[in-house]
Amino acid sequence: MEAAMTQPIGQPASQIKGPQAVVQTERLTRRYGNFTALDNLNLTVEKGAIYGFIGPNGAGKTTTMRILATLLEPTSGEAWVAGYPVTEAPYEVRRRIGYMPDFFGVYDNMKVWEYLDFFAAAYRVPQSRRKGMIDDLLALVDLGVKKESFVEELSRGMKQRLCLARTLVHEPELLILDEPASGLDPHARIELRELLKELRSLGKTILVSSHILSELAEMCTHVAIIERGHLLVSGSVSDILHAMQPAREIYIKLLDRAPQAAALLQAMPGVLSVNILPAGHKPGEMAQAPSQRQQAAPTGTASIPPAIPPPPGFTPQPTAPASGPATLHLRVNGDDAALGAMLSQLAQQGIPVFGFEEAVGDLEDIFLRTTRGLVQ
Amino acid sequence: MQANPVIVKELRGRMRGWRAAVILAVYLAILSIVTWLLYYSISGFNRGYTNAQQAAQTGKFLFYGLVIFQTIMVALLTPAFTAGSITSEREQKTYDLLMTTLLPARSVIFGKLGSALAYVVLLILAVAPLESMAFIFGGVAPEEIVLSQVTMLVAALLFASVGIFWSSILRSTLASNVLTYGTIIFEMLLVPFLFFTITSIMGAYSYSQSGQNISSTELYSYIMQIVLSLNPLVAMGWSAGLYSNGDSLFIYTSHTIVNGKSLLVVSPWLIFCIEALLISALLIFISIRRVRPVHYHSQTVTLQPQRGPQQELVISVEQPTAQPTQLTLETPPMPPPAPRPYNPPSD
Repeated sequence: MEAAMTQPIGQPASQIKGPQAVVQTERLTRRYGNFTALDNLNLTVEKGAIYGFIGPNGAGKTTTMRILATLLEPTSGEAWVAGYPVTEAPYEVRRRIGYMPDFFGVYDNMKVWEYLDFFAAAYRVPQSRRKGMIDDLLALVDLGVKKESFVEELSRGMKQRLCLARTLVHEPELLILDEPASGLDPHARIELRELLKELRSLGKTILVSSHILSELAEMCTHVAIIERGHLLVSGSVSDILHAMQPAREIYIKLLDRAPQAAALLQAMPGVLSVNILPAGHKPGEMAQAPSQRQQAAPTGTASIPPAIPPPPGFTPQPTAPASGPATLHLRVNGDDAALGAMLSQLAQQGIPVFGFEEAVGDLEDIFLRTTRGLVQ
Repeated sequence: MQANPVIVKELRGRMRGWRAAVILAVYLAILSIVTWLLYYSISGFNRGYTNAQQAAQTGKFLFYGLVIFQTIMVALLTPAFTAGSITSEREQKTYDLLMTTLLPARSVIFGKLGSALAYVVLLILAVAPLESMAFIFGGVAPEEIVLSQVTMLVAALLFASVGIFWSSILRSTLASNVLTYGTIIFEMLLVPFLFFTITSIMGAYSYSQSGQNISSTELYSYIMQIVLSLNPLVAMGWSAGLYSNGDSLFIYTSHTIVNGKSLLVVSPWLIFCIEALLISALLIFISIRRVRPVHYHSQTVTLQPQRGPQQELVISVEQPTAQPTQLTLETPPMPPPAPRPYNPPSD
């Protein structure tokens, strides 16, 4: 922190205001002896995000979260939560976070409402407000009927939801959830996902980790992929998808007149290539099609590559049917409006379109590509 | 002013259902049987209570017998309430949850200690009716009652602090229990034993040519008071013995212990209380320090200058302070891909 200003001792914690983002880390490093669990991690979580923190076990996810939760001291580097540095103002940070560890216990011999009441008291929630708040929280996590049950009698999914309710007793800005979906059955996982979306709509920022990408793929707005303490890629899901896969892949199913349609589309702006495939082709079978993915492979940085100029000329493939049902495969560099224009163009020409879909790349793809060569 | 949440939580758990009542009932039943046995054994000696002195002896015997037994019970029960107090939080994985709340470490320690002591105090007070049977016979002074109860409460605090101390230092409840009981056995039995063996080896009790040996020096007398008073039973009995000889229960000057010299004597129960309070304070202090998960050691506050609004997209690194490892995709240029199986990261 040679560039940092050094303030005299005794600066009131309330005046220490760091970055604007809800979570910001700068060159955050943690070593355990010779082992470096976190290596110069720079992370930014903006307000209102559901931020997926993805990486294999031992990548440093839990270490990062424990530092942010003021349970672990960084070896070097800085971390801020809601503008407060975790090492200087841990109480201010604790006031603003709800932390759920990957392994958490519940107390024996304690009822559900007592559990929440205890933590509310521990967060200095006045007694007069606790009762109503506990009822609200139990309703939110759908445990209202279990209010008088003993905590140890709950199922794992219920305990998970109770612990989530526990993280909310002091109305934190940020939820830090370490592997919340691990050990849950698919049904409980879906419930959890819905719950997180609901919490996001209540204005919470959520930092959630997993080593299983599909757990997070559908609910996150942002992701960071971490591997051996290094941040490999981070940003919003759509931006990352776009960066990794600059061309959108569109499949158009036609009843007839495929060559005309192909020629028509080829002339439209933003269309990079058009292929005519036999009817009944499924998007997943595109392995043989010239793949943009190879060219878009990251080389060094993840900055968005410039749009690739459309290849000159269009030649229908010899195997393509001249008439009858067919599927067009397009690679398009354009927004949703451009896609709409294509569809209406086809309709105006009376071309019988009965299917129009985009093959959406997913996070699994990104994960595999970014961690390639590093995971093993 | 809010009640300490930890006390509320611990007492809710401890006093729930039949368990607390059953422990209390069993405890009282045992002490009732002890009282009954004590009474029959003494009445075997003093058949018929022919005079007031014999009745007073019976009263004293009953009272001190009960107090000794009760102190032993306190020594056995109190550690059980505290030796697992912090380790169980660690073992049940609730420790981290507790540490991210706004509860300061001292609230956790005092909450655990307070709830354990509350129950022990209940056990001590519940025996008062049995002890009061001694008054039927007379022979027990009010001062003796007060000092015995005070000594017992201080002893309970000491035993509870020992339990908390080991519980905050160690990781497992089993180890904490072993070391807690080990410490109490050391303090109650081994310290007097070591004192007498070591002083014997040094020749304190053998006749010497000059007629002088260590045991007749002032220093020996002071050390003996300090060391032997560590045991609450010894301290109480010693104080009661001095009291029945007509000495004060507090601080006085004696000319009889070391021949011809005036010696300051602090009644042993008072020495025990002072020692126990000091040791407890030290143990509690260490425990509080140990319970805090992180001791942020920075003495200066480093402050980063405020940044402008963050960019929407944080994929690429274009911050002026170029940091080579920041946000880069550290993937080597890829060879043309053969479909590559995804190996999930192994645990």
